[in-house]
Amino acid sequence: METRYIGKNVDRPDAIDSATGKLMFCAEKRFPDMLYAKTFRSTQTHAEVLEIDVSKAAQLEGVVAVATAEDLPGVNIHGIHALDQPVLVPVGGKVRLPGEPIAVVAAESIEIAEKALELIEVKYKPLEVLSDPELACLESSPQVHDKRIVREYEYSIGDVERAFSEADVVLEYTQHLSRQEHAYIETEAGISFYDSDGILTLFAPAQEPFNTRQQVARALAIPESKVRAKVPNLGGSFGGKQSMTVQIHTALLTYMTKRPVQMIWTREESMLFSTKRHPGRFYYKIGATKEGMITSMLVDFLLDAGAYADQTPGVVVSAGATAIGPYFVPNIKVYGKGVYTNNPISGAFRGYGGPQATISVERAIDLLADKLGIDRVEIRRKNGLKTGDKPGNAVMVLDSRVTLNDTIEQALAMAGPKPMPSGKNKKVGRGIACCMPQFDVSAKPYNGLTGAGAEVELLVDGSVQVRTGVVEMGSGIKVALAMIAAEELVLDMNKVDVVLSDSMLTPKAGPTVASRAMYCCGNAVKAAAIQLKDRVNIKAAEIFQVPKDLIIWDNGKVYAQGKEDQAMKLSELARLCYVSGTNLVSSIFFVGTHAHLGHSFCTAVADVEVDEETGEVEVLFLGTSHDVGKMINPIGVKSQILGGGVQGMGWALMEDMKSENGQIIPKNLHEYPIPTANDIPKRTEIGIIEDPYPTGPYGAKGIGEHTNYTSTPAILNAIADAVQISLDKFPATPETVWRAMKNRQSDAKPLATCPSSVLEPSTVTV
Amino acid sequence: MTVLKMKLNGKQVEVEIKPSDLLLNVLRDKLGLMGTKEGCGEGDCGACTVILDGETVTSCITPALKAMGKEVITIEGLSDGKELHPIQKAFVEYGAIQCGYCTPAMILSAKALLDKNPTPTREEIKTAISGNLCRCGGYEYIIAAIQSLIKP
Repeated sequence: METRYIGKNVDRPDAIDSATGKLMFCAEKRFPDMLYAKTFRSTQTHAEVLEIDVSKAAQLEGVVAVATAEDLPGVNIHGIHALDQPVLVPVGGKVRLPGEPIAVVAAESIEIAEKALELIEVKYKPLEVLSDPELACLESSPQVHDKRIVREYEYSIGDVERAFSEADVVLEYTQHLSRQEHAYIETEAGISFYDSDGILTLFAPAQEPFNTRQQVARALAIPESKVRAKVPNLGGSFGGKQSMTVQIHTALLTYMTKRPVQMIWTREESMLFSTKRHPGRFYYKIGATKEGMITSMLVDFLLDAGAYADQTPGVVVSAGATAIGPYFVPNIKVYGKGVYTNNPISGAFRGYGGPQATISVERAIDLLADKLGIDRVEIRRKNGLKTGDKPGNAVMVLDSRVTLNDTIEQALAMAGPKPMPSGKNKKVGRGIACCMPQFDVSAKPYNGLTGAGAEVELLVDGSVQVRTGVVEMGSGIKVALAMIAAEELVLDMNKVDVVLSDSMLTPKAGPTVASRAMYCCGNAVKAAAIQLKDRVNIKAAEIFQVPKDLIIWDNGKVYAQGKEDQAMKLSELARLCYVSGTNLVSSIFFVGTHAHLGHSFCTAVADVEVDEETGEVEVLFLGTSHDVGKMINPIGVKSQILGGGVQGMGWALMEDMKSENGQIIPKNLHEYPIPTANDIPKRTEIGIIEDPYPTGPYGAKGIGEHTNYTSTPAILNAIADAVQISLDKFPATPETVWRAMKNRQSDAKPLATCPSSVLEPSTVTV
Repeated sequence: MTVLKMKLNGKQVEVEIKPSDLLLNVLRDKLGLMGTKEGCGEGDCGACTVILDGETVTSCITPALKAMGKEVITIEGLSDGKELHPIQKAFVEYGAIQCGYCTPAMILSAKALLDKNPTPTREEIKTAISGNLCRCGGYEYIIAAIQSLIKP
């Protein structure tokens, strides 16, 4: 079908703003009477707070307010999935990780606010620290919360034990996962103020403004109707800016002082107290026939939730649902859990537990292939899901064509022949990794993310405004939604504006997570545009004296079919609609019809060269093939794929947010390096499969998170292929690789058994 | 207080500063040029990059006084307000921008490179932008945007 915009590269209007330095982020708003806020944070990892003395700080000239838990009018609690985190730790309460906020200061300058922090005195009673998640469930371990397990996952089908006893080969493997920092370049920042209607207004990060509104209102004991949360453009988020950071603190200080308050976290604060990607381990036991057919898979995984629940309940389920990979396995038992420790808080990070599971299963599949003496690609082709198969979880149904093999073949074709080593002591390896990532489709009962609301308004000058509650954090959703409205209303792009993520202006659309914005809001905007056009066409049919299905919209003009010479301007038609009582605001609340999550397929192939003398790894090639259903804005899709791939490469090769006894080690971006332009693959290819998703807007599936699943395991598999090391721990830094090569002989059996015996779940709620 | 005199985006400016002020804060808070971003405050991420007498500097660790009598170019100095600068145009067209937080600085690093070396190799481009961290886009389209400006 010939389209106007869909499927064509369209420049992002907001990209023009960023290129000229005009794009507004959270730290950019200024008020003349604005106060500057700073946070007093715990230096202890696990301790009871005995005494808080802010009297000296409050007396410092230029300090306008110092707030502790006592000043909080409402409930001193916040959280995304579970309410277990204090806004400010009170006397008698306890800190559960370093950096926890105890007091916040608002002053006339940042310098004064910083000085005030030095005058705050807190007495603690230190408690024993729990830093090893493997020990979290032992009675003898320190207790971080009343309960030790945040969430469990269990899924089983068939009889794994019998299948193991009948299998020709059984493989056991444990993959350890390091902790990854989001490292968005914009740190957390926000500003709050009272508007002229007395509405407490926040410009602050979030992936859903409505969640901020709810959490601020609860903490301040004011109605949600008195709070407005606006999320300006985010300088990256990747899941990391969902939780409360600066929001309640600045709102509280504005509530107390009645003045605008701005808080900007330093990089060190961001690293100290933002959420991270869950570290943990996945134990696999896989049974197969000697021909390479997998007959059973047992998975036991453990995720370190850190000191608070945050997103762990969802991440555990998502990891569990991804643990079997895109394979058909007749006998399955998956058990996993997330546990409390005194470590940094783990939250959502692009893929939501799925990447951890994918790395683990894809490493295990390679080892199984090696043990069987079967080609590593062949084992994936053989066991890959086929259309109509039942996947290894309860949250997905394969209701459209399975395109796994298409992505495998495309990725291999892009890779071409394996490169030759560039010199002596250099070894080249190739790795492949496959995945079936999920995306939310606004359907119950598995997500509870609710529907997606959108409004499309035709203004009397012929321009159109689209309003919906999702957030632009760089993915290009704003331009994609404008393209959809322009497509349906046959308008020029410059006639369409999109307003996002403002709890007072935009309809609730659920959070911008789970690769759902395109599917959910795309459907909502499309339906709203069609509804609007239909409504306006009633008036047009009356004016032109023809049936309404003969009305043609064409680039801001409207006419009856065959009578283009009698066209009316859309602006004039809008005006006539308005004066005759037609509602020019069309509103849709899209709710998915599925009873499960959406699914997609992707495959990555990586070639690496390892220097046997230094352990250095160079990524020679990374090629990823994604079934995206339909590209709305191709350049946006491909740019997501590039970025997600490099993010995954960073995790594979260099990123590890280490902690020791609960204290994080890297405190800045030179101690925690992320890929620079010098680190990217020598050659990159992007492969696109467009197998339209029956219920997606124009066939589109989700993509945002999916780009972050397969590059990590493909690169790890390539390194293992090059130098035959286990990589059950990563990142594969030169030192790690060098040591692993040195210990190759003794390390030849990477097959660990499950570290703690947790295969019997206690209470399971999935 | 001291008066900092510099040529900023083509115009002579004078601004009262404290000797300890950093260039980034003077640009953002005293001159209202918000296009220059802070990402780390330690010179690691490059989001605060500006051009000082033809060389890129991380303004978050550069004392404002270093700009005394010199020429400073920020992102606001690239376009004349009517047309985008060719580098800005290329970044938009080539999909080199995602969240946009690193973009102004990245464009300035590209400008400093192309002003000195109009025909850089891929490796020279990578090195020139290696002090500018981008967490969204994976650099490939940024490199493509810069390469598109090389005249054969």
